[in-house]
Amino acid sequence: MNKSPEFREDILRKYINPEKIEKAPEGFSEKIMQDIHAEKKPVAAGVPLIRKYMVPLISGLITVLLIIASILLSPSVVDYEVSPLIKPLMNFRLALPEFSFENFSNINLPILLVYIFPGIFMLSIFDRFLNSFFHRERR
Amino acid sequence: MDYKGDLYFIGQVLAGNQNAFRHIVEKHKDHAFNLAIRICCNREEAEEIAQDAFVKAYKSLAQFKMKSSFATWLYRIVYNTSISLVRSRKKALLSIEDFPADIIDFAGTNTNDEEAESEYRNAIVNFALQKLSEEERGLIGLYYYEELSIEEIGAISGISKSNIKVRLFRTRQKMLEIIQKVEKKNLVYHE
Repeated sequence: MNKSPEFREDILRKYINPEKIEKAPEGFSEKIMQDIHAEKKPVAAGVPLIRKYMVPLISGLITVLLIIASILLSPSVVDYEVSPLIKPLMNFRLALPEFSFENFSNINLPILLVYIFPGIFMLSIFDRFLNSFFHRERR
Repeated sequence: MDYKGDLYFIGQVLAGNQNAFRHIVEKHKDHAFNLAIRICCNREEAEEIAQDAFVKAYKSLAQFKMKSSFATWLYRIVYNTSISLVRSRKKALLSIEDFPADIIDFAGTNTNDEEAESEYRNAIVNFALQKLSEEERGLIGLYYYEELSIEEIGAISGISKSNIKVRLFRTRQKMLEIIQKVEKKNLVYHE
C-alpha cells in the first residue's frame, strides 16, 4: 500500500489496455450525418466590416483631423478669421527643441520633405499603437 | 491526431460541403464514444452523448478557433456533456459484492487464456470505474485510454495541471484498492 506513485501507475496500466477502447456502435456515423443534414450549414464567422477596418479608419480620421488642424492653425487664418477660437491653442507651446532649417540650406530638397518624413514616422507609431490596442484579444 | 487532416475537412464543411463532416466523424467516433462510456458507464447514454457532441461540434464549427487540435476541442464537448448528464441523474452506489464473482469462468468459456485474462481485467476495471466519481472517471479515461498528456487533459477538463496530478494520484489509489478487494473476493469464491 505504501509504494511509489510510479509503481501504482504501473500496476494500473497492467489492468488498463488503451487499445481496448469501446468502439462506437454500427450506424453511428449515419445517425450523425442524418442529424447534420437537418441542421443549417455552418458558416465561417466573418469579422464585421467596421471592426475589420477599425485601425485604418481611425488612423485616416486622425490624419484628416491633423491636416484640417494644420490648415486652420496657419498664421494667416488665425489672424483674420478664427482667431478667437484658435488663439488659446496657438499660445500653447510645447517644450520641443527649436529646429533650425539653416543647417539644411545647402541641400536642395523640397522643404515639404522635412514635414513629410516625421509625419509618416509619427503616424506609423500611432498606427502600431492602434493595431496593438484593437488586436489584443487575438494574441 | 492528424491535425492537418482535420483542418482540411473543417475547411470543406465551412465552405458548404456537409458530407466532409463524415470524415471527421469516422476518425474520432470511437475515441469520443469511449470517453463518453468511461464517464457515464452506459452504452445507450454514451451513444447519445457522443452523437450530441458531434452535432454540437458541427453547429459551432465556425467558432472553432484552432487554438487547440480539433480532437481536444471535441473531447472537451464530450467531457462536459458527459459530466453534466451523469450529475443530473441519481447515482446508484455499487458494493464490492455487486461484482460477479463468476465472471472469470464466463470470460473463459469461448476464448483462450490470454483473452480470458484480458476480458477479466477489463471487467474489473469497468467495475472499479463505476465506483469513482464522474470527474475521476473522465480523468482515467483521458489519461489511460486516450493517453493524453496532463496539459491536454487540463485543456479539456478545465482543471489545473497540479490539480490533475493530485486527482490522478488519488484516483489511482482508489482504483487499486477496489481492484484488490475484488480480486481478494474472487480468490475466496474460487477456493
